[in-house]
Amino acid sequence: MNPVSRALRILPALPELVPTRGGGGGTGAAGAPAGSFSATLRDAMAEVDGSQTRAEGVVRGVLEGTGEDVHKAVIAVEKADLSFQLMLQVRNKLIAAYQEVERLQF
Amino acid sequence: MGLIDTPMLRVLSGSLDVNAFRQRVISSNLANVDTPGYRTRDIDFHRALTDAVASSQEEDGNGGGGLTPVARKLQGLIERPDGNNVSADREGLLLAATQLRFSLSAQLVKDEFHKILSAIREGA
Amino acid sequence: MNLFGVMEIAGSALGAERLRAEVVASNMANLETTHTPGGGPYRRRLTVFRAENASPFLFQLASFSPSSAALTGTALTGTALGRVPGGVRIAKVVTDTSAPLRRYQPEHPDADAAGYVAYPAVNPAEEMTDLLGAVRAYELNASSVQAAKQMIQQSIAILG
Repeated sequence: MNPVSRALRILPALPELVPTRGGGGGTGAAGAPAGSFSATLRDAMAEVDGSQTRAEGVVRGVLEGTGEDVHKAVIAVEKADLSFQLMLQVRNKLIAAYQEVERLQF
Repeated sequence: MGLIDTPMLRVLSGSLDVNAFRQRVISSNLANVDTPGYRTRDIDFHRALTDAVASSQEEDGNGGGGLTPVARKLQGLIERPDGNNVSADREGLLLAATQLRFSLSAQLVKDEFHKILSAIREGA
Repeated sequence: MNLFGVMEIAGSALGAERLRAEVVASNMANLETTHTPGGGPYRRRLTVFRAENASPFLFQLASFSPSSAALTGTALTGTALGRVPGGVRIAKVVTDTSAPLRRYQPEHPDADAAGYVAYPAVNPAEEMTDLLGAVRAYELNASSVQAAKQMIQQSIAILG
């Protein structure tokens, strides 16, 4: 499995769980906001996956000598790395927020 | 373009592409400095830059592609008896200048990525 | 559209200019060669440069069309890479058909019936100028290679 998917495996579970707990706190009570939030998240995750794949493609192009510029490959790799970093941060914040909500329940 | 995209990155990425391409045109000119009948070629640098930045705003998310600049024959250069009009001085200067522009753009790209990383780590 | 391509283009020129210098050296070495195995004095040789058209996708306007008729093998290009689009190659090495110089030297073993010896029609000054041109072009293209190499290294340095 792609390391990106592995690291972000927990994310899809969160938005679903929040509404069923009674919808307290600021993480979105109603189904609609939570739904659109998870949709945005999924899109973002797909984007991170996509940027990884793109980067691999450009790097392969350089290494196989099919005419790709080195700077293009390097920039694609950096963008994929940073996208991944961003998602990691988002994941961490979400987990923290989820744990916060959990504490509030008890 | 993905999650990571800033106007600065677009401009710098375009600058790298255009300068890399121009270097290829210049090296063709230099390689043919002694070829009878060869005419110097160059790109419309300013136009190529604006085109590169504009095309990166509407691209499909692939880091590359975009428009390839057009290399046209230059007018106004002195022609030697065999028809060759390559000026070693002009090409030599341009080689150095293009390399510097590329170098500057690369360094700035690096800085931009550092800034973005800092924003990701500190912010949110 | 690739900086490695720049190295190949410059490389084609390095090979061509080197071959040109070799031909000049051969001419200079044979300034006084009055007799060759094939008979007659040494004949001056010159190189014919031709631009190698870049792929149409890269350059929109075609430039110089090489005359395809009398092209000899790629062995003469002086580069193992063969033809490089956007680069240059030596299309052929031709023999100068100018009349040889004749000097009156009756005692010379190669003198003809009238006592004249045929010398190669090689002008040292002209050859030296040609050689200097080859050297200068070689240097220019060597800087092309350097520039491309540095740009690639700078690209890699973006990764930090």
